[in-house]
Amino acid sequence: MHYAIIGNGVAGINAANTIRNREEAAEISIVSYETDHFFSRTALMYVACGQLSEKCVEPFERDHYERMRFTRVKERVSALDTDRQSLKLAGDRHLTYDKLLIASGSLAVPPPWPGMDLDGVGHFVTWQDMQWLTERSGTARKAVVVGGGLIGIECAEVLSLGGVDVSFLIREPYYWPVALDENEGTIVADHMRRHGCDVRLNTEVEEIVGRDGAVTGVHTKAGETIDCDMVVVAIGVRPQTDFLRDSGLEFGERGGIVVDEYLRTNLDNVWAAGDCTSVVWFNGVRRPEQLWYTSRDQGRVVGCNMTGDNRRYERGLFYNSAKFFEIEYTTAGYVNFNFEGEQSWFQHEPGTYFTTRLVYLPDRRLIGFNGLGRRWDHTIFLQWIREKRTVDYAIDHLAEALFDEEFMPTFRVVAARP
Amino acid sequence: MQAGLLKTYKNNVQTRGSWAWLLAVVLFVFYIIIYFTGLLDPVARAIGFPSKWNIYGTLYTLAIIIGGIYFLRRHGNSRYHQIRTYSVIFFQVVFAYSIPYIMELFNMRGFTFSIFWPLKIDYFYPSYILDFPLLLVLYAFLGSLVLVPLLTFFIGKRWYCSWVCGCGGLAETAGEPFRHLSDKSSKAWRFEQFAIHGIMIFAFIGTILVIINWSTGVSISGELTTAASVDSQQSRSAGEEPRLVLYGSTKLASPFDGKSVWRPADTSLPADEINRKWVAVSVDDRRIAPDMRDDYVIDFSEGSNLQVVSSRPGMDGQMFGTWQTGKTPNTVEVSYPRYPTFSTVATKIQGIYAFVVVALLSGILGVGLYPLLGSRVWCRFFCPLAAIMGLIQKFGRFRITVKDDMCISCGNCSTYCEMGIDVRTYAQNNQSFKRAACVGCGMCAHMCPRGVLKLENRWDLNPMKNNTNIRTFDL
Ligand SMILES: Cc1cc2nc3c(=O)[nH]c(=O)nc-3n(C[C@H](O)[C@H](O)[C@H](O)COP(=O)(O)OP(=O)(O)OC[C@H]3O[C@@H](n4cnc5c(N)ncnc54)[C@H](O)[C@@H]3O)c2cc1C
Ligand code: SF4
Ligand code: SF4
Repeated sequence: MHYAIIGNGVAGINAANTIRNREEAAEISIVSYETDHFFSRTALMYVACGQLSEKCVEPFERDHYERMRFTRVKERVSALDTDRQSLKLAGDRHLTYDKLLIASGSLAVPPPWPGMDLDGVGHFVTWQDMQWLTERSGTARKAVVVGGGLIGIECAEVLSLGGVDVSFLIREPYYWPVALDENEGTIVADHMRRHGCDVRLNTEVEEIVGRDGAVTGVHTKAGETIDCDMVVVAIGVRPQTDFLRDSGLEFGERGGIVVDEYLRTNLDNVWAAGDCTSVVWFNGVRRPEQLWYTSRDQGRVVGCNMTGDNRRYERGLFYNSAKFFEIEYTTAGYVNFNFEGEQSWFQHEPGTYFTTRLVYLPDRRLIGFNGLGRRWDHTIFLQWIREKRTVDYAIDHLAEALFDEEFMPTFRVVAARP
Repeated sequence: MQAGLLKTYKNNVQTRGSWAWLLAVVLFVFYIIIYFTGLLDPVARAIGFPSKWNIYGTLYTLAIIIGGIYFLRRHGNSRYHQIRTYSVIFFQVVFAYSIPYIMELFNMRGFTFSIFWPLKIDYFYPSYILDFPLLLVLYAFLGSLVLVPLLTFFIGKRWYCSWVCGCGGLAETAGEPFRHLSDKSSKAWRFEQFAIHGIMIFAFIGTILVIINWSTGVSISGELTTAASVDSQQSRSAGEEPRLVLYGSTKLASPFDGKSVWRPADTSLPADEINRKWVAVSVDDRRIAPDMRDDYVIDFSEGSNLQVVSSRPGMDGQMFGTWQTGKTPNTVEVSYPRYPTFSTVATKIQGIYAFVVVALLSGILGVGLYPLLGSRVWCRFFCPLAAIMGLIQKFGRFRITVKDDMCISCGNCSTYCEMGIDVRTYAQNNQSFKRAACVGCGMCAHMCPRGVLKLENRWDLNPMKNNTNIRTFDL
């Protein structure tokens, strides 16, 4: 049995490991054009700034592929032919499969404005993007980062701590409204400013301009011009599925491959997992789920299913974490889903950037949590939400969910109770 | 929570570049000069120190202070790191540096309260024990056999390795720029287990042999007829080099023939004849007389070690007694072994341990390799005290708790673990863990951008439950 896997990312490698654990004799090929070794995409920023080396971000030892007997094919797949069960590689070559997993991840969303082809303009999603940013930031003096999301703030941090002046353009009225409220977004933006970052809210790009093919500045819709010699566009990612357009696969919103709860696609012997899929979320909406842990879990589930098992992929309650410069962020449950009548209890510990927010419904049931600064054990909140605890219970027991380093200033409830 | 990104891998000296090699060579040369030559003794005297070891101690302490400030500037945003850095600086400055120095000023032998057996292997050597007052000996024993295991059981070996110890102190401060160089491979882990437990067993055996050798030995003591300390005082006030005058009437005798030939100087056999046969004298490792004669005059400085060494064929170099000027009454203790062959072997092993483990591994290699293999080469691969505490830690309360399903496999934790523990492998498998090597520096938790790790002392003693509750899958 020959398993072909497109993608050496977290979904692909976890699927491959699972297949090997379950089928000693399987023949497993992993196709990827990006790198020789599986690396942690989430750690790209640390490689760019020099905190980690390229090898540091490889989660497995280098002999993993040999030990697990995975064949690596470092090529780009340009098409999928389901009749002949084969993948088209460069030139005339093909790779045939018995079972195929597509775990091709995401690419940056291309922006609608002109100027993307100028020298000095790029994204921050792939290994090659990282190499570009690292090199460019060595000579750049002034950079513009477009896009008030997670990747944008990571780029801003890398660049500004690397000595480049950064203007950070955010279309929305405060940082990252998808997940934060205005209080939280403002704390983050203020923190960035303290680090010398020029954060501009309500700012949209009209055009990226340049001279002799190299970028010189960014025009905003408000008519301003920001001079710069580097632009990073981080306005989101979308599934990397263009090369599969003519394969007969069914695509959903934003080009994600539609999969069922067993991560099967509409084609025989073809599964998909990770960022490139479109799955049904807990609230019934079908969307790509572009997260590290979901990709990993999908990879493990699909590995079982490809080897004859029947496991459902269930995402469960949402949770995530991130870091905005120094400020660590944890979230659990439903935050910013705008349920009817939902309210928030919010507290900001004075003199710090530590905040806590509990989201609850009119019947006082806890449904979500957002925390900045301190460390929290999201599993406790998930458990409370599942157990239908009230916001009052949560406030009384908040300290139990703390996951702070020892000797951190003691947590206290300082805000008025709801 | 890490503050400010590091640029470690863009820095020549931190990535085994040419500057790192140069620094390593400088450190090696420095250690060889300190350990094996007397080149720094005149320098020490010129600046008012009794010996080169004071220069070494001063530089070491300065390195910890300056390195500590450097460390705090990078990671001082965390209270955990603040407190433990103040702690290592405090223990170095007060316990390892000042107290022994002050004791010496008061004509006592310096005693370091912050070191325990077997890191200080001599603490259980009888000859050493006898030199110290009972209270200090009690301290050394209770400290090594009760305090260390108990504290380690309750809070992990971190209380010592990254809060108190001088070797750890240097690693945590001056060694900070090099912590990421530790080898994370499983090969290195296998070597670690072999090496550190090997040295631990070596230390056990060495100590036991020395104790057996001593307890089967016979010792006698003789009195020097000249009050050397007085002479030392006098000559010092006269502005001269202090001198020790040994007279032939020293009551040293050799009982090697099995019968008691121990005779004072006024018996029929002249003492110097016996001495000439069996005893040589050296000061500070310099042999100054092939044998002891009448009126042999030795120049020495206060604090010098007078050693009386056998020159009997077959027992060459066997040390009979040491006598430090200005410290004890004017007696020379001479002990001789009942089983000479065993004694020779035991002494050899003691010597090998002192050379290989104490000088080579903890000093020259331990510090010299900082720029190439990281700051914890000694602590991780060779320190016998760390090995013992590591075994206790495995059964103790301290562990690193992993938050479920939050790890993004970025590798910050593993990279900045100075003990070469591949923390990420545990973290990405949702596995809380106890590792013998972990010195609880807290850097893995500090560097983790997702707050996945937490150092904890907890009563449920087994964190190894494989709680992979990834909702849909179990491997
Ligand atoms: C900068 C950055 C930071 C992030 N931070 C976080 C975070 O903090 N937390 C979080 O949860 N998520 C984060 N993410 C998202 C997370 O990295 C992704 O969800 C995850 O990596 C997706 O894994 P994957 O295996 O699905 O795909 P990928 O890791 O994207 O792997 C795709 C693979 O497919 C291969 N491939 C694609 N097309 C082809 C082709 N045509 N031919 C051959 N090979 C092909 C590629 O070579 C690659 O190996 C971040 C993403 C980025 C870019
Ligand atoms: S595991 Fe963590 S606490 Fe232990 S030595 Fe390594 S970095 Fe320090
Ligand atoms: S535990 Fe933290 S630092 Fe370590 S790999 Fe996971 S996310 Fe990164």
